[in-house]
Amino acid sequence: MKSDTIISRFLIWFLEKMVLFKLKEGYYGDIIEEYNSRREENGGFKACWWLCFQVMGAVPSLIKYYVSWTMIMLNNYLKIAFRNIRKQKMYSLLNITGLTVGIAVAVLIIFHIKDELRYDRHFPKSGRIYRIIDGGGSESQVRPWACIAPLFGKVVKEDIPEIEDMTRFFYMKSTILTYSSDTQTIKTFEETRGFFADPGAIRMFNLAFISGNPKHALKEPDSIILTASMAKKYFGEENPLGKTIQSDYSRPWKVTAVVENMPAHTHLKFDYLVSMSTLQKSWGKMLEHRSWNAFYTYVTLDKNATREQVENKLIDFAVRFHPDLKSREEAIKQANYYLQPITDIHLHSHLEKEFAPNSHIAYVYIFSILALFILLIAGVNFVNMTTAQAFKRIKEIGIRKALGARKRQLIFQFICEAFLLSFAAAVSAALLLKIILPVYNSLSGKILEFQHLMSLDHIIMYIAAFILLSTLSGIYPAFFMASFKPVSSLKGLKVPGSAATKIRNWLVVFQFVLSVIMIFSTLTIHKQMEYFNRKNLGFDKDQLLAIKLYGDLREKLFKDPEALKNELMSYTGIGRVTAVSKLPGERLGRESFRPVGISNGEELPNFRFMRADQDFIESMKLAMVAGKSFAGLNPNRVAFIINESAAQLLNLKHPVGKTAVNDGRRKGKIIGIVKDFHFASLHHPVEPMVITFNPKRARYLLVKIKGDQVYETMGYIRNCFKRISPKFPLIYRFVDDYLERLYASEKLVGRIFTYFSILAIFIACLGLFGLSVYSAEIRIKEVGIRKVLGASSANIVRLFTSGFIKMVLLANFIAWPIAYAAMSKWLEAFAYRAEISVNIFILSCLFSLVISLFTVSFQGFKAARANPVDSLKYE
Amino acid sequence: MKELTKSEEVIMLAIWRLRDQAYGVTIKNQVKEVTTRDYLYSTLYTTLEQLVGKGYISKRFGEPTPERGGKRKIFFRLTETGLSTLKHTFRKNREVWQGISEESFNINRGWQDEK
Repeated sequence: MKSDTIISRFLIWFLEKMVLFKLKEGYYGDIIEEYNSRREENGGFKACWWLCFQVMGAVPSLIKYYVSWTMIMLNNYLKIAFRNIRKQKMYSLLNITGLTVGIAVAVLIIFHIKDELRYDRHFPKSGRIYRIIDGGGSESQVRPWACIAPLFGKVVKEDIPEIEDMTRFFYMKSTILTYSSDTQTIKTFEETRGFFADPGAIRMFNLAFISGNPKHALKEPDSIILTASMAKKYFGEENPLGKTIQSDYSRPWKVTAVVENMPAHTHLKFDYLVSMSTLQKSWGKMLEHRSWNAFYTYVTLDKNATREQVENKLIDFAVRFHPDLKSREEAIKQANYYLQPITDIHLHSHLEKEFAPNSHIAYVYIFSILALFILLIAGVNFVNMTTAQAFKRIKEIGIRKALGARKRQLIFQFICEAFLLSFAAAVSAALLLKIILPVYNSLSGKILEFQHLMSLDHIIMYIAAFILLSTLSGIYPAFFMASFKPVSSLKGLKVPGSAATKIRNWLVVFQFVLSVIMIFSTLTIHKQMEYFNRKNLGFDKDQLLAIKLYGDLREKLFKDPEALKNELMSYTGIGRVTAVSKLPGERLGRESFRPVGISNGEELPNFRFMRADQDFIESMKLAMVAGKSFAGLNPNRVAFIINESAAQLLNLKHPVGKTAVNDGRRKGKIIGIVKDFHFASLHHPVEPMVITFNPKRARYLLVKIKGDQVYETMGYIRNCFKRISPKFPLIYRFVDDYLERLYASEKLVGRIFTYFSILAIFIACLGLFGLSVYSAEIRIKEVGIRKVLGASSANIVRLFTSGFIKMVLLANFIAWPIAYAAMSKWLEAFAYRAEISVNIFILSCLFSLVISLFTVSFQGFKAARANPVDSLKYE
Repeated sequence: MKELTKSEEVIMLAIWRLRDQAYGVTIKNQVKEVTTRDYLYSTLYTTLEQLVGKGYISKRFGEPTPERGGKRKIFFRLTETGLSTLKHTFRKNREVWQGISEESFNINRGWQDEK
């Protein structure tokens, strides 16, 4: 075929493959003949052209032919598939259940991950918004700061042209807000999510205004904008615009706008914003500060600017901004400012003084792996059970082959069956999801809606995933079944191939390896949580009530502290009382502390600071290592107690008695050293800390409740306070509850792991159960013969279960090193961690064994009780 | 007796004219010569299969040749039923076209509006 073009050859090949057998002789042959004669006459191109026409004309009828035949066969396949499902009700049910759970779980996890990755991306300008971070430089000893100096943001915007917009946020600490309406109803609440903000906040984050003018809302001093739920809380159905709200701060604020609540998937969570100009008015000096890292600063970059460009300019700017930085190199070493994309914050940012605790990218990875595990277990189940059932259809396959079915068709048939089962599973998974979603939402603190899950683009993703899943799990059984030899199958030689059985067993082992890894992890996580709960923090945290000091209450305390304390302590249910500036578990500020005698040239890091009154050490039952406590001190004295770590750091021979200066202004003596205690989460080692004697700066009253009558004691306390400050409601919390929130993400992970481990084991046992039933079926005759030959019931049961036990034990041995490695890595994140003891290994092994034994024993007992006469009757 | 469609009629006549040489290529060419209908092989074979199904024609296999890529030719020929159908068609046509010659179509007989 000399002058054949590629197209011609392709078309001829196409025809060869596609034209149906019976037509091939005439049809195909005619085309070839005429093609050849045309090629002789008119040349290759014209002949090729003609060929194209012929083939194009052929395609529609070919399609119609194929489609109609496929439909007919599909009809048959579906009919047979349904019949099979009905015949094997239990197996099919097990199969579908396993797949359903697997699919539902995987979908849930995928959405969880999608949601986590979605944080902060909904802002229209999110690609250009960055947070300015003080990297601290290589010579600083602390983590980078999420906050920078107040003046920085303001000046940097004027200085660097590529910065389009800027806003700062300043956290307002917990504040009491009060609204007194004209109708004399007073609404007072403690608010913890308020910030001072620049007008830029409205522009940069495109806040959605429900009422009020976006251009002016944050311009004037003493303006406050509320989120919708805040407005509802204080004003109900009234219009808040123009009304005033009182706060801890001196002047009342005017409501200038109401905005929609910030959505859940952003790290910027606030309830209200007060204009930055308010601070300007009352405390202007503060805004001129150059080294007080207290303001979150966000910038929007120009469309054409790159991050590197601006970061470069930031370093130069830092040299100009900080008088003590003389060159770029110094700037990089001491205060390496850089830009953090806002979309990175939620998962990757763990800086000092974050807005709120962030999540971790590691969890995204962990959950993806979990999802994969569960899908794998479910898929393996499907494969196992289908192949086990395969031998029942040997006759059908043999007949089909004898009637002319090609291997291709048989594979297609079995994949169709896999499809059908998976489809049923997918539908029930959707139903299951609808039910489970509220549980998941309460677990994870997210707000996923079913409608949202079912939106169009998601459904396309489901269909794609579902097709993938059913094809992958259906492929192996399909090939397996399609390769049965017709002769041996029709003869009725049922040989459960040992190769197939081996593969099946290994698959079960694999399932249990995954499950044991999950059980192991769950046990470890729980042990760590227990450890957190039980660990002695160095102070007495049980039944410790923290009452917020504000308004009248605070004044009364400062006027006459003894009176209030005595009044409280006179009640039998109340132990000691002390006043402090920060709760244990609350973030302590860092301030400078320099003992006299250490030269100014020597670099000292900042210490964590806390303020307390005379009774602090005794109330909290802290242990003193040297010196004495604040008890009995004159309230006007300045005195410090440092902890062991601080003493070590300062490296003084006899710290007690030395004078020291705090923040450059307050001078006093170090009167004692306290044993290290955990005032921060157990994630971090104890940092050097200084407790200053300063009752006037207390913000909480810590009341130790003795005995069991907590409720009555609370009543007494409430009455006391109602008498003292009737207008200000009692605002309190329990310290142990407060401490627990530090471990919120670990608790969440623990819960998720628990549920998923249960699910994984459940699915694995479904598979195991199916296999045990199958194995019982196959060995009916064997069991019958053994019984006749004198085996006892115990022997039979042992016979059955030993195989499975071996598999589970093997799975445990394989899983242990993997799980141990993974969990050790996780535990490294905690400065104080529990040990992975031998207990955990034994427990996870025991757990998996007991559950699998339980599953398998049903069939064992059933087989043991079977009557050999029945089993051996049919030969 | 059912009427033949135009396609069927044309193809069956071609087969009849071709006597024992009627297979795909020759039928196609014959039809093209006489009536300038240029059939695609797919439609041709569809019609041929239909005719076989109706019992008007029958087929037999010929010898494989290299020009055909080693495939055999399929020859078609009219059956008794097919033959009588053609005859019937001819008669019907003759009745319909009774007494008309080519010159008759020089005048357009229609509405008598000129009188």
